[in-house]
Amino acid sequence: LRGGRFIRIGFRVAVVLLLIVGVGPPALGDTVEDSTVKAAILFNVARFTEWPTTSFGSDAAPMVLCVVGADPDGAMERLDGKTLKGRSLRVRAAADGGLRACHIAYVGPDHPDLREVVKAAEQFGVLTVSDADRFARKGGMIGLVNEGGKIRFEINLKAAQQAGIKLSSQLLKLASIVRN
Amino acid sequence: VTATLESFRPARRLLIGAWVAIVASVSPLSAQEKPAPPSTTIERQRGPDLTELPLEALMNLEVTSVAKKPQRVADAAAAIFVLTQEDIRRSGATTLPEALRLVPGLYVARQDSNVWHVNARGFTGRFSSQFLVLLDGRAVYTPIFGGVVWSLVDTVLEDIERIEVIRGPGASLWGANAVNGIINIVTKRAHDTQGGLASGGGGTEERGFGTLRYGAKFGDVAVRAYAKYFNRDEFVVNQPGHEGAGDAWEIFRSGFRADAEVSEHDTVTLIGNWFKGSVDETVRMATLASPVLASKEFSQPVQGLDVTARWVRTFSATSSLQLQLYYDWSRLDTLRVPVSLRTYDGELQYRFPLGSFNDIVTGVGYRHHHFDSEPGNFAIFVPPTADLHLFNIFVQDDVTLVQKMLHLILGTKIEHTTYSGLEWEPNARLLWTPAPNHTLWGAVSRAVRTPSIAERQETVSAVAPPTATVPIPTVVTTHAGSNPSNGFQSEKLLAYEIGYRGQVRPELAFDLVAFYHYYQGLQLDELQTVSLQPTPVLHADITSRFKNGFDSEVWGIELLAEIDPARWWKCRVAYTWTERHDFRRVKSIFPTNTTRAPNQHGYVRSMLDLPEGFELDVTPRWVSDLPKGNAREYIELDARLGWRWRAVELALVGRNLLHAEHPEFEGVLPVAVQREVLFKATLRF
Repeated sequence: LRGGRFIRIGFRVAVVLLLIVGVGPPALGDTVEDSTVKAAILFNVARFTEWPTTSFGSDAAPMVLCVVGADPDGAMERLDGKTLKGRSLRVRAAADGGLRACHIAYVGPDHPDLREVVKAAEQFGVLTVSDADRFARKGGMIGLVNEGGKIRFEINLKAAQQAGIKLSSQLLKLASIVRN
Repeated sequence: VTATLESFRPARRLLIGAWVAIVASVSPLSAQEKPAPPSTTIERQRGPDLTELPLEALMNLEVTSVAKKPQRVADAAAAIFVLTQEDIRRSGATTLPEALRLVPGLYVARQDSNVWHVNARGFTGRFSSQFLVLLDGRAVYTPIFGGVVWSLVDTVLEDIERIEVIRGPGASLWGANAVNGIINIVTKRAHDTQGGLASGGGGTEERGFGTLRYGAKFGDVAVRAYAKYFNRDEFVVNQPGHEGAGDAWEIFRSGFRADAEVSEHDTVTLIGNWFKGSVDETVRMATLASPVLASKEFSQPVQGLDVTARWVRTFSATSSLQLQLYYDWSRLDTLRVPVSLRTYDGELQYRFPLGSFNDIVTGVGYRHHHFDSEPGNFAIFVPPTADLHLFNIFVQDDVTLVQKMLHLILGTKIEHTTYSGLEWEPNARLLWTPAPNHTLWGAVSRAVRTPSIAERQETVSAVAPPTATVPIPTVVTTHAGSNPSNGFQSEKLLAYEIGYRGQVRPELAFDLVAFYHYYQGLQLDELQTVSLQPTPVLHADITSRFKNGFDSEVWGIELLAEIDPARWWKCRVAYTWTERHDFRRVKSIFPTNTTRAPNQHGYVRSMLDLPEGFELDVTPRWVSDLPKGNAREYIELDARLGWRWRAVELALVGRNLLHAEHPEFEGVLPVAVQREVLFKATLRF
C-alpha cells in the first residue's frame, strides 16, 4: 500500500513535469504567443462571415483555409479539423494563384507581393486575413495588428464587398474600419 | 477521484498525441492515411486552444512574440546581429550600453558610472571613434571628439523595436566613421505603442528611475509621448580607502513620436526628444603651483534637443523613396571644455529594381555642423568655433547571380568633408546560400574615420607631478597644429571578412565570422619639442601634435551559438578572439595600446521561462586581460528574476554579482564597477 502511494505521488510528479515540459509555460502564464491569438481571431472572424452561396459545392463540403507564405509557429495549421459554421475546417498551403478552392486565405507577414493575392482572392470570393503591415489598407479584408501587446483587427469593407463577402455588424463594432 | 482523473487528462492527451506521432512517423501506411504531418499532431496538444474564446476576450489578451529573426538577417552579407525587444527586456539593463553587452563580437567596458567603451575588432576607448551609432536614423556620433558619449544616448527601452549591430565596415550604406561597425537603434512605430506604460524602481546603484509613456490614435495618426528620469550613484576608486569616484549622474528626458499614414503609399514620421541633466566626473590633476595629483570633482551640466522628420513613399515591395531631415542641438559643459553643437542633416534614398536581377539602393546626403566652445580647465579650441560641411552620395547594387543561391553586392560611398576632402569607400560582398538554412558570405571593404574637431582644433594640456626619474613637474601639451594640410588626416581601413550563418537543427543555430583588418594612420601624438622652462617654477615642457602616428593589423574570430533545448529554455554562447599588432610611424611619448581591447571575451546566457509567469535569466561573462595597467581579467555574473501577471511585470536584477567591485578600464583615476541589485516594476494600461 505504501509502495502504491509512492508510485502515485511519483506519477503525479511526473505528470507535473510532463506538463511543464510538454505544455510549457505559455499555457500556464497569462501571456500567449501572438500567432496563437491571431489564429483564434481568424477563426472567430470567420464565424461572423457570410460567403456567396456558390462558394460551397454541397452542405457537406469542408471550409478550406489556405496559408499563403509563412505560418509562424504553425498556428494556422493547428486549426485543421475544427468545426466552423457546421463544416469541417481544412488547412492547406496554397501557391499564390491557387486560391480558387479556398474560402479563407491567411497571408504570412513576410509574403512579398500582397497585391497578387488580394486580386486572386477578390476574384474567387475568398476572405483574406493577414498580419502583414497595413494589410487592410493595401486592399486586404482583415488586417491583424499588434497594438501595445494586444491583437486588434482592421476591416476593409470595400474589399469584402467586391468579393461578395458579408461581414456581420458584430465584427464591425469591434474592428476599426479602413479604406485603401 | 474526480480531481485525480481531471489532472491526468492533459497528460493522457499528450501521451496519445506522442503515440500517434510515433506511429505516424514509423509507419508509411498510416502516414499516407493521415495527410497532416506528424509534428502537427503534437503541436495541436501544445499551447491553449483559444478558438472557443469570444473575440472581445481575444482582443484583450496580452501577447508575446517569439524573437522572429527577419529573413533579411539570414540574407545579409555582413556580421550582423539583431538585439530584439525581448532580449533588451530580459537583459535587465537600465542603459543602452549595458544591453549591448549581449551583442556577440562587441566589446563593452564600463570605465565609471557614466562612461562606457563600446567597440569591436580589437579596439576600445572612451570615444571609440570608429563605431557609428544611429538612434531612429539620427547620428549620435559626435564629431567634436569623434565617437559616442554613451551617457547621453538613451530613450524608453520598452519602446525600442530592435537594435541592429553590424560589425566591420558598413561604409557604403552608412558613411564615414562606420569603420569597426554600426549600431542602429530603431524604436517602434507609434501604432505599436498604444496605451500607457509606467515603470519605476531603484537599487543599490540606481538611486531611482521612472518612465511614463502614453500612446493614442487620432484618425490615421498615431502619437506617443514619454518622460523619463534616473539618478545613478557613484562608483568607488579602485585603491585602498575605496573613496567615492565622484561620477554620479542624473538626466531627465522627454519626447514624442508621431506616425501618420497619409495615403496608401506614404507614411510620415515625426520624432522629437529633449534632455537635461548633470553628469559628474572626477579627474586626478596637478598644477604647476601644486605639483601633486589631486582629485577634483566636476559637475557637468548637459542638455540637448532633436527633431527628425521622415517621409517614405512605397511604390512596391522592391521600390521606395525616403526623405529624412533632422536637427540636433546639444550643449555639454565637459570638464575639459564647454562645447555646443548644432547639426542640420538631410538625406534622400531611393531603392528600385533594375531588370529582374538588380536591386539598387542609391542616395545623397548633406550635413552641416556648427560647433562652438569656450576655454576649458585644461583644453582650448583654436579657433573656438567650426563649421563643417559633409556631402555624400552612395550607390549599392545587389545582383542576383543565381536565383535564391548567389548574390553579388557592389557599392560605394563618396564623401566630401571640410577637413578631409574627398573620400571614397567601396565594398564588394558575395552571398552564397547553398541550402535554405545555410549562408556563407565574404566581403572586402574600405572605410575611413574622418578627423574630429578636437583633432583639428584642440589644444590639451596637463601637468604630470615629479617622478623618481624626472624630479621636476612636466607640462605635456598636445595641439592640432596650425597648418591643416600637415595636420591629422582620415584613418583608413581595408577589411577582409568571411562568415557562416546556419540553422543546423531547429534548436541549434550558429554564426561564425573571421576577419582581417589593416588600419593605416591611426591617431597617435607625435613628439615635437622637449624643453626646460624656468617660470613660474622650474619644469619640463613637452609638446606633441595629433598625427596619423601608427598602423595596425588586427585579425580574429567571432562566434555565436544559439541553442534552444526547449520552447521555454533558450541559451546563447558568444566568444570573440582578436590579435592586434601595431606599427609606429612617428616618435611619441605615448603607448599605442591604450586603445587595445582584450584578446578574448565571451558570455554564456540562459533564458528560462518558468511556470506561473516567472522568468529566470542568468549570464556569466568573461573578459581576458587588458594591456598593462588598464584592467585585469575578470569573470562576472548578471542575473534577472522576472514575474509577469496580466499587465504587471516585476523584475529583480543583479549585476556583477561575483565581486563587490572590479575595474573594467582604469583611467588616471582608477574606478571600479560595483556589484548592484535593483528592482523594477512595469505596468501597462
